[in-house]
Amino acid sequence: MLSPIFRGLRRAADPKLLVLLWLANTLVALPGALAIGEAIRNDVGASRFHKTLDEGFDMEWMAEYSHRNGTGFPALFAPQRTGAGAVYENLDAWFGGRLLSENRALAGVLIAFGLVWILLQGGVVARLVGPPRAAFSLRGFFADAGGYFVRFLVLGLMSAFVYWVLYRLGGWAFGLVDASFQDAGTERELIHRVLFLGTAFVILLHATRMVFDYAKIATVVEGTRLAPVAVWQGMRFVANRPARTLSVYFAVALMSLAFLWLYTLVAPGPGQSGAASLLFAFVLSQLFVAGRLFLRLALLGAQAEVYQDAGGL
Amino acid sequence: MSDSPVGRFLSMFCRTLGLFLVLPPLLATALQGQAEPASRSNGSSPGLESTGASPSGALSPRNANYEMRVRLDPEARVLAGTQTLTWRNIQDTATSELWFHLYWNGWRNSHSTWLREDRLRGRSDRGSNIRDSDWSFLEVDEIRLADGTDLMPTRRFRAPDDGNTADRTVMVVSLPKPVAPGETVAVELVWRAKIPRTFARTGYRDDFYFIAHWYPAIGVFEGARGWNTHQFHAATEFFADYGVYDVSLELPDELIVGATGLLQEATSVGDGYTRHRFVQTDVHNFTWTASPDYIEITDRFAVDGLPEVAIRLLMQPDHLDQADRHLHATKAALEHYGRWYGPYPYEQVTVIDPAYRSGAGGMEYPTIFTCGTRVINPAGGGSPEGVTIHEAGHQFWYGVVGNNEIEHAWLDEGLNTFSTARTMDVTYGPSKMMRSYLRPPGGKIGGLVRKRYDDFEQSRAVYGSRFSRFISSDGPTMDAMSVPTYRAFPRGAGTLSYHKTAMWLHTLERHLGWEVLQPAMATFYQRFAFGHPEPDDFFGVLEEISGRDLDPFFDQVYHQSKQFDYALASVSTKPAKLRGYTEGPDGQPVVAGKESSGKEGPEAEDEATSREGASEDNKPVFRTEVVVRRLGGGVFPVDVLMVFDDGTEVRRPWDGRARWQLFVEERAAKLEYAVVDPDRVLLLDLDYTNNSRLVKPASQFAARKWSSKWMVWLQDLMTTFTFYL
Ligand SMILES: [Zn+2]
Repeated sequence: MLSPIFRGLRRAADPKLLVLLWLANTLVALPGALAIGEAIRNDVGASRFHKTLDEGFDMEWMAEYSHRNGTGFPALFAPQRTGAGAVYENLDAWFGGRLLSENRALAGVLIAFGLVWILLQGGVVARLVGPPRAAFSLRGFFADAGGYFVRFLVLGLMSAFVYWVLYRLGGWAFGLVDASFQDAGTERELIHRVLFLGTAFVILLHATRMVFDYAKIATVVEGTRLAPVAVWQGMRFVANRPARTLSVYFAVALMSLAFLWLYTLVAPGPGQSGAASLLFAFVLSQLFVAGRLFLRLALLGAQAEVYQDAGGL
Repeated sequence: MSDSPVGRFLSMFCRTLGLFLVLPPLLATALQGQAEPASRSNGSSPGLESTGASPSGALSPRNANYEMRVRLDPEARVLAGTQTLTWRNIQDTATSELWFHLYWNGWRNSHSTWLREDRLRGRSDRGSNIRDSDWSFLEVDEIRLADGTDLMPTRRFRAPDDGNTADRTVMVVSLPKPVAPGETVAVELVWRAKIPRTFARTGYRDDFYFIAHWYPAIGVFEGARGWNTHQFHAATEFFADYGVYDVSLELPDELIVGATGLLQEATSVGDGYTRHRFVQTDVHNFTWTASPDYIEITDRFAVDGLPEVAIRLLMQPDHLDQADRHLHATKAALEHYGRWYGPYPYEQVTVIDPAYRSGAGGMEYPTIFTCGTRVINPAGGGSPEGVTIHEAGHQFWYGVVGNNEIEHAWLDEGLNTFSTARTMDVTYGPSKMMRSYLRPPGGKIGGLVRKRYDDFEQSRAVYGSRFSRFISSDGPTMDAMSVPTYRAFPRGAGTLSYHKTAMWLHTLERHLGWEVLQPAMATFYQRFAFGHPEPDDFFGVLEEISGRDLDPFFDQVYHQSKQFDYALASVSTKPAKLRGYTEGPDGQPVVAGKESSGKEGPEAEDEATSREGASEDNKPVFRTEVVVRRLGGGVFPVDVLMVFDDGTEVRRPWDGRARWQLFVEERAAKLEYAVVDPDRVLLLDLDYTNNSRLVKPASQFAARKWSSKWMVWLQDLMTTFTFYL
C-alpha cells in the first residue's frame, strides 16, 4: 500500500505541473478577488475604518458592510472566510452539498473552474501514467488535455449527476434522522446519529470519487472511447481490488485532512499591517493552495500507480 | 454549589424541612393579607403609593390570588384543574364583569388570532406543520362564586383587539352584583387544559413539560378605562396583576419539578403520583416545568450589599459541563441588575435548561426562567451566558416592574436587552464571533458544532443591541414605537421592542453618562416595582433624574420613527494664502503678492506665503474646511472632531439641526481626517462609515489585504468543487 503512495507523491512533486494548476486556479479566482477588493474599497470609501481594517479587522464596519452588500457577489465577503475559517467553511459546505446554491455568481466561477479543471485533467492523467521524469512540454500537455477533453467532460457530467443523486439521497436520509428527533431524543444522540450517518455518507462520496478517478486512468491507459465504459472499468477495477484501492485512496485522503488541519494551525489571522507581513501571509496561504493541489495530484498519481502495478484491467 | 449527591440530598432535605416548618403558617396568613413580608423588603418596599390598600407588609397589592390544584394526565396530555381566584378591586370604579385570559386557546385551531399573526411574522414553521395532537385548548367547565352562584350562563368570548369571533383567548363572565372599589370577590373554576406540542415556549416534548400561561388568568382592571385584557397575539407576551400563588401539582412520581416559588411539600398521593405544593407571593404569574431527566444543582448568590438568593438549576444531563456557566451568568445578572437598579426581592430563583428541541428556551416567568444551550458550545461566544443573563434580567424588568407587555413590550424587552448587553460587557467583555458547523445535506439539521473565532470581536455598542437587525429591518417603513406592540407589524415588532430601544438607551447612556442614566433607571425600577408603569412614567423619571429636557429625543425615537444619519460630506486643507486683490500701501486694490516687492513668479508666491499665509513662527498656515451633512430626518447634537498632522485635535460641538454645516479652522498644520460624532454617541446613526473622512486618498491596503485573504477561500472552494468532477 505504501509503495504506490510514495510513488504517487513523487510524481506529484512536479513543479511545472503544480505551477500550471496553481496558475489556473489563481487566474480563475483573481477576478472574484478583485471584485471583492473593489466592493471593500467602495464601501470603506474615505472613512476612518481604513485604519482599523489596515491593522486588524473591524466587526462594527462589517455589520454595515453586510447590510449595504446583502446581495450579489460582494455578499460573499465575510470574516470567517479569511484565515483558518476558510477551511471549516468549505469543508462544511462540501459536506452539506451547498457549494453551488449560495450565490449565482459564485456558482458561475466554480463551474468555470470546473471546466478548466476537466481540461487540465486530461494532461495531468496522461502525464501521471506516462514515463516518470519525462520532460514537460506545454504543447504535449495541452495536446493530451485537448484529446481527452470530451471524454473527461462526459465523465465529469456523469460524476456530477451521481453526486447530485447522492446528495438528494443524503438529504432524504438526514431528513429522516431529523424527523426521528422531532418528538424525542437528545442533541447528543442526534450528534452521534449524524456523525454515524455522516461518516457513511462521506465514505460513499469518496468511493464515488475513487471510481471516477480510475475511470479517468482507464480512459488514458486503455484508450477507452466511451465514458460509461470507462466508469464500468473503474468500478470493476475497484471491485476486484477493494482492499488495495480503498486503502491507498483513504490513506491519501487522510493525509489531505491532516494537511487541512495543519493549515488551520498556521493560517494567518487578521493582524498584518504592513506590506511585508501581508506578502508573507499571502505567500503562506498560496503555499496552502498549492499544497492542496499537490495532494490532489498525489492521489491521482498513487491511483495511477496502483492501476499500473495491477497491469491494468 | 453542592453537586455531590449526598450534599444535594442534605441541602434539599434541610431546605424542605425548614420551609415545611416555617413557611406554611407564614403563607397561610399571607394569603389573608396579614403576613410578615415574605422576603426582606427592609421596610422600604417601593411602588405601593399608587396601588391602594394592599395587605400590610406585602411588596405588591396582592389583588389577584390563586389557589390551584392540578393533575397531569400524561397519556392524554391533559391538565385538570380546580382553582380559587380571590380578586380585589384596587381601582376606584366598580365592575360587574370579570375578564379572563385563556391563552392556550390561541393554539386551539388555525383561525385563532395567534396563528393568523404567526403566519404574518414569516418566521414560524408551525403554521402548516401542526399535527392533530399538537393543538391545545383551555376549557373552563365550571365557574361559580364562593356562595355557589353559577356564572357559566353569563360566559362569553370577546375579541377586543381584532373582533376575530374564532378567537377564544378572552373570556368574560358577569357578576350578579358589582365589585366595589376595595371589595374582594372569590371565584371557583374547574377547567381542563390540553397541553400543546410547544408553541411560544409552552408545551411538551416526550416526557418534558414546560407549562406557562396555562390556567384561566384574570385580566387587569383599569377602573374607568375598563378591563385591559387583550387577546393572545403572536408577537406579544403577557400582562397581569400581582398576587399570591398557592399551587399543588399532582404529577407522576418520576418527574422532577421546577416552578415559580418555593416548594412547600412533596407528598405521595398514591397511584404513582406525587403532589408538589409551591407557594410564591408578590408575583404576577405561575409557571412550572417537569421532566424525569433534570439534574438538580443548587447554589447561593451572596455578594456584599445585596440580599442572598438561593439558585436552583435544573439541567439536562447533556449539558452538565455547562452548569457553572449558567450559575455564573445568573449571578452576574442578580449582582449587576441588583446594584444598578435595585435588589432582587425574592428568596430564590429557578433556572431551567430545557430539553432539546422542546422550544421552551429563552423565556422569563416570575422566579423561574429558561435558558438554552448546545452540547458543543465553547465559552466566549455569548451563549448560553447571554440568554441566561437576559432571562434572569427579566426578573427585574417584567417580574418586578410589571409593565403591560402586550401594549409596551419595549418597557421590559428594551430595557432588558440594554441591561443584558451591559452586564455581558462588564462580565465577559466583547463576545467573539461564532459559527455553527456540521450541517448535513437537506438543510433540516442545523449546525451541531459551534466554533469560536477569537480574531473577530463583537462590540457591545454594535452587537449587544443587534444593530445589524435594526438597520436591516424595514427602516423608514417601521412603525413608530408608540404604536402598541400588538398592533405593530408582527415582523417588525421585535426589532422595535428589543433592538431599537436598547440602541436609544445606549445612546442616552453615552450622551448623558452612565452616572446619570443609572440612577434614573434605578428610580424607575424602585418607584414602579410591583406596579404597571407606562411609557410616560419612564420618560418622566428620566427627565426628572437627569434634569434634562429629553422630549425632543423621545419625540423622534418613540413618537415618530425618525432615521438618523450624519455624514462627513467633504474635507479640504489648503495653504491659507490669499489670492485675488488685496489692499495695497496706497489703499488701492492690488493683486495679492504683488503689492510691494514687484517680484513675479514662484519667488513672489513664496514671499507672499511667508507674509500672509504663515503663522508667527513662520510655519505655513493651512485653511481647513469640513462640511458635515445631516442625511436623516432625525436631529441629535453631535461633535465634529478634526485631527491635524501635528497631532492636535479640535473638537467642535454642533446642535445637528441644519441640513449641513461648514467648519473652518486655520492653523499651522494640515488636517488628517475629520469625524462627525467621533465617540459614536448616536448609536442610532444608520451609517457610521460615512461619519469620517480622510484628507489623503485612502490607501488601497485594506482592500488588498482583505480581498487577498478572501481569495484563499475562493481558491480553496474551487479546489473543493473539483471533487465532484
Ligand atoms: Zn426578553
